[in-house]
Amino acid sequence: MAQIVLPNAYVDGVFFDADAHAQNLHDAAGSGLFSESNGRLSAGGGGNLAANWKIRAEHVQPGCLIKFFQHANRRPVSLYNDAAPDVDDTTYVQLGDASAAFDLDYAPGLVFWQWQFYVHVFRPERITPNLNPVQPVFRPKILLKTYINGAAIQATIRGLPTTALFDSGDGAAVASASYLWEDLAAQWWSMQWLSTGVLAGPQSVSIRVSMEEPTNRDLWIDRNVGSLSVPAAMGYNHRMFSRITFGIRGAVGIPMWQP
Amino acid sequence: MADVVHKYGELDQHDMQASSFQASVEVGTGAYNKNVYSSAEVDVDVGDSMLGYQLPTMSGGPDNAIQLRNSTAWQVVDQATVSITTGVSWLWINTIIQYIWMPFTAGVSWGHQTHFYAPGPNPTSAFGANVQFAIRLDGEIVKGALTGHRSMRHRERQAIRATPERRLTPLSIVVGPGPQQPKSHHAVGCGPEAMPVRIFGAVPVTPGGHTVELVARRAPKSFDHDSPWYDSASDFIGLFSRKMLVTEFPTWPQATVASASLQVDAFEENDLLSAATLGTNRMAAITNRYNAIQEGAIARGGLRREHLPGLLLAYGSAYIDDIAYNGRVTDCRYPGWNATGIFGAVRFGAMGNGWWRVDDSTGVTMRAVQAGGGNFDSSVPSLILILANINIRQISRDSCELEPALFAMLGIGQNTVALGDRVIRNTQIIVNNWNVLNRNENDNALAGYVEYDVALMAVIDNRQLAYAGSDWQNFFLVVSGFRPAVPDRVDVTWRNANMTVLQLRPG
Repeated sequence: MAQIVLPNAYVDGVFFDADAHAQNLHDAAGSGLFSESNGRLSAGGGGNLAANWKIRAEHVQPGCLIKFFQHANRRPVSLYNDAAPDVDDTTYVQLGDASAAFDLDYAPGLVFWQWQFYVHVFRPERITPNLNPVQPVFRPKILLKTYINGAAIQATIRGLPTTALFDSGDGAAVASASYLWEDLAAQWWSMQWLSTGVLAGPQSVSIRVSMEEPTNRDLWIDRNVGSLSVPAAMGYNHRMFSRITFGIRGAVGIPMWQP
Repeated sequence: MADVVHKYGELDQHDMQASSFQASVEVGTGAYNKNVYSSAEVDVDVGDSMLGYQLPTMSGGPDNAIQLRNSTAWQVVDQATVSITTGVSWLWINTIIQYIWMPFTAGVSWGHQTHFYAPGPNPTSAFGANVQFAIRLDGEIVKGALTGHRSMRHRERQAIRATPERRLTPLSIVVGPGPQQPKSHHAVGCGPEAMPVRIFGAVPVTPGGHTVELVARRAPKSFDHDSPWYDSASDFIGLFSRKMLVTEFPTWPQATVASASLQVDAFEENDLLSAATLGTNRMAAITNRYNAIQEGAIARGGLRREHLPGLLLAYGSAYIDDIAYNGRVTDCRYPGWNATGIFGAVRFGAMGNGWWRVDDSTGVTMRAVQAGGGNFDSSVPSLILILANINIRQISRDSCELEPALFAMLGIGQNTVALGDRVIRNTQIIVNNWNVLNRNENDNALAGYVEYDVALMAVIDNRQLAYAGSDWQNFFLVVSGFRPAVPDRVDVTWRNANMTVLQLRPG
């Protein structure tokens, strides 16, 4: 709409025209002060704003441009591979507290997601076949994947390294050496993703973990193997599992208004 | 008439035409957000492909590297600290820092950090750097923004369980009762010897002054060894390039503009009704005000999103997710800290000197362009925040002989109209091949997977750019590798990656 122009002029020496005055305030065609200011005030060239008019902070309705939905936890959590027995998508286990979920009653356009966590793994591998019974070298898989609004984001798939080796010698059943580097492998991951064209409704980000089947392989461990320090366990039969441990973690979803 | 007069000063969304506002109104500086940024740029000083490579040092400059105290107390990281005065607001915090566990050893078996190996019956167990970082707001650690376990004494079980509760044979040793689950080492902080750490935080704040700090501390090496403490001369954490960007998004802004009012006298008894008194002095006065509405005429919070231009000036993103599990490899060699415009011509097999642009399995470089087309406009004051992640799977030599002093350098590149592709120097980060204990069934070293999720971050303040006026066409990632001892081929393997570019309004 353009500048307001009153439809009727006031002229000295003639009777006051009440209808014309009323039309200056309001009329069915939308002209007049009342009508123009009722949703028809406009910006841009020829509009109703003063020169150099700008949006100022106080003009903005609180919370209409950006919101923050966040969640975090400080308590450690560990998942063992017998808790998530398959690498198939349907059995990924969601990591608690590294997620954010919320509902929007408008379409923001953009949602920027960030999630971060401290992670270290005990991911053992036996590097010598156990001959009793014969078992091949085995390296159970661990994968992390991020889901946004229920859809897997393939670009966020990450693996985790092996962090322990058990060498049972040339076919011997008893482990004669171990290599442990879980401390060295511990990492902080801080990831992000920009969702575009976001519509109104529920929004969520979640981290899911997949760990392959338990090794299901017993290992004889000497008490002096590496830094295992299994108390008086000479000749003991042990079973190895994989473990993934998360420390401090959190996620945030940031809807950003972008028409 | 009085209603129209009174409404002026309390105009809101119902009075304005949404489409014309959103399309043409200008957003004032600081209306949407306010940015405070601090950074330091430190060369890790590893040389280059022409003069040769060396292990990282603390003297690379141009800003100072910091030696982290070997104590469990938090230490504020200089030049990654900002102060900001806010109203009732949210603070969005993004910070990154490069750390290196110093020094690496030299000599025949060089490459290990001096105290890499754990003491004990088996020397093939390794300690980690065990360093923690956190965002601290007004003296309090932001929840979810500490890079480790909260307790520096935390230990986790090794997940090895005795299957029988008691066993009398074959050695007739009675043990028990119950299965054993030995506890692991002492992973409570970041372990690799060289790694960047990026952290975010989102915190609501009350009005007043606030201090946002990046802090660091070192956890004890292990509480059950005889010598749990560190020798500060031969075992310390060096802190290198760092950045801290704090963006305030006001919820209830303190700022106000001068109020605008409209005063028109009411008619009194016996007042003359004339063209001047009713027309000029009243109706025309009101009309004139409504034809030149002042900023103060809008009610506080009077405009909703339907009337407002977008939060960002521009944005873009890119990703790679088509690479097979084994990853994509380059052997391009690091061209040096200042060689931001040297790119390798061959990805693999020629050991070229230069950065390799991170690409997908078909050779297409991952480039983040502006959504909707066009360039990122450099003519408007703004801050560009770039966050990227890449999965670096392996850093190895061609012969698979493993050393921790095999390094990968990564960075964020920008393509401008004037200069083409350039690496943003202060985004360079370094990671090393920490996984050197892997063995195969013949007890030979086996190329280990390091499985980094390398986080990168760039902040570009276009008001400080020498080449302001040259628009950004896109942004990309670069990678290269090097080996200090003897120049040799180093293969760096990556898989998935993604990056986001947000051009923030000035403030």
